[in-house]
Amino acid sequence: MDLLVPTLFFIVGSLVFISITFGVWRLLRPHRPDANKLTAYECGEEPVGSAHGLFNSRFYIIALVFLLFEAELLFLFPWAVAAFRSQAAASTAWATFVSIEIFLFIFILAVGLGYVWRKGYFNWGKMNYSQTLIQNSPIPRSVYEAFNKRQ
Amino acid sequence: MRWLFCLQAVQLFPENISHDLWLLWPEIAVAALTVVLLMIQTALDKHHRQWSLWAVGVGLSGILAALAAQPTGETQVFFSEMILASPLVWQFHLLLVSGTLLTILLGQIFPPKPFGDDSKPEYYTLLCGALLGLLLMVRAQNLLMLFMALETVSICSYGLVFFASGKKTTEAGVKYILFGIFSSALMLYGISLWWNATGNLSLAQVSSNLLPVWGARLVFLLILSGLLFKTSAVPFHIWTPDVLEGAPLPVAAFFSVVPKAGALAAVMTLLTPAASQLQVLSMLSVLAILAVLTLIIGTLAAIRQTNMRRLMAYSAIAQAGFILTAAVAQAPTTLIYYLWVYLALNFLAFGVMAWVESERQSQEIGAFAGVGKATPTVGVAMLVAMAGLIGLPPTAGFAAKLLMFSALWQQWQQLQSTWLILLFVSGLAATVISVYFYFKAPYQMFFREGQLLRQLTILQRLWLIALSIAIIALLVLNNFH
Repeated sequence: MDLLVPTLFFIVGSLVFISITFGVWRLLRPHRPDANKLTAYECGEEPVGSAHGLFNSRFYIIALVFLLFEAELLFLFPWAVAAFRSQAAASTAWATFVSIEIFLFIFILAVGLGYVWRKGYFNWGKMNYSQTLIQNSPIPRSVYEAFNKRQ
Repeated sequence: MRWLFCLQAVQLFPENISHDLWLLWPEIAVAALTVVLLMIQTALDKHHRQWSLWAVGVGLSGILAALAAQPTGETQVFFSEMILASPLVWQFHLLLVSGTLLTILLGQIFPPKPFGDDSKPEYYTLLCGALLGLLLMVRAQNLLMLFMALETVSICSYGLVFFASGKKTTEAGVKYILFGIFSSALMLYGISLWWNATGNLSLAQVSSNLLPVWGARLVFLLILSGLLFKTSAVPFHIWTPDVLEGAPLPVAAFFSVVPKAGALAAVMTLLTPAASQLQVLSMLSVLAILAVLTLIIGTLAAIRQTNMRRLMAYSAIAQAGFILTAAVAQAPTTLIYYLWVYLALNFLAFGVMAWVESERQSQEIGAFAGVGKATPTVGVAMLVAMAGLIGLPPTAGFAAKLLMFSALWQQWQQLQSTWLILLFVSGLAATVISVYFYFKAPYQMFFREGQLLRQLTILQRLWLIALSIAIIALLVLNNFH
């Protein structure tokens, strides 16, 4: 029974959280759907066709930065559970220490984010994969275009 | 209910947090330095190389001075039995910080182009990150702490390899990452088996003795594999030649000594609780066999090398065998002394190599032709370095080898194991064989002809002379007991 109450609270909480987020989005965003916007978005790939397509390798930098903050979140949970247990919270020195420590932790990660931002890893320049690939090929370009049309 | 063990570890709060934090100051200082470097690189756009250099130079020198000023007197385990403070740890810390400082100086005094480029300031950040991991590694008293420290070193090291450019570097970097991940995974598996058997990850107190002997030996080997990778010992040595060939020269010098020191300290820590888990003899014999293999493979492979970097890499493998021997003899003082001598010898040799590489645009041993005749300082420095690496008398290399062999002899008298005698004999044989390949470069320098384009700068001359003198002086400074 003890376990059920937090579980129920968790389920209800997540539902409420999701509805609030979607509600806020609905209020804020312009509503102009088109065919492109309505396609499923997953890793920037069109979800149909060959799996051996070209994909943008710059996603991996985004993924790295994402992992950074994923790890941050992962560490915040045990911190929240362990830091303020009754026996520990009794000691003021300990409570001060853990509070300062977690902000230091987030600060270090923020420095990392600032670094990545400043170095321009989030800037997406225009890329031209297909052009460069075709340049080295003995097959004329029109053949590729015809092939793409047939797909 | 095994997961409850985990929670117990969390509940053990440090009682005196300010006291514990104070004992951790070297790590905190290095971590702060790393963050400051990253902030400098974020805030400044153009001149950040100069600023980074100043920050890292002043920071590391300050930390070294502060370390030297306060020797740790008493041995104590703190932070919920995670971390150790002891005189031995203090000595290792001095060694590690000095090694990192020497790496930065080497890159400054002998600019590493054309075989690598440390001009990007991120180089310093990664070096400091690796140092942070190493400082923690030598004092970890908990397997999880040890693994964390090891991974910190590994991840920074993977980045450091890539500061050169070219096909060789890419090959080296990919090999290093793959081997690193493989050995880390083995180590993690070993740790999980350990935890399953004892319900405890602490190395300070091993309560239960649940493992059968063969199982304990397997677990020991698995946990050791991550550390053997950093030591470049057989069978985890395969990355060494490629990385030392492809990485920028200061980074290669760093890899050949500094992570070894950290890993060996961890091996020594591991030996203590492992000794209560299984008989000392069976565990030391595992280490002894690995050391014998490392010595043989390193020495024999070095004979055929024509590339100086690869030769030094196989030399680093053979030296890893000697360093492991000091661990087998369970002689920490000898180990520290050997590492200091090896640090000085290797940085002297790499200084000469850096100069010749930028002079002749080649890593081959043939590129050393005539250098010794034209510039006697370089020639004598190389002669001193190579004589020291062999272990010849006028240098401290002799004292280091002598101390190590006598420590091994004492250990044999105590344990009477055949493996230790085998290690003793193969150590002597490796020393004799190494005379041939270590003198290849000095031979080229003095008995072949060649023209030189440039002169040594004052700082370069100072580096070579100072380290040569240090190598002779260390012979006198050791304590023979």
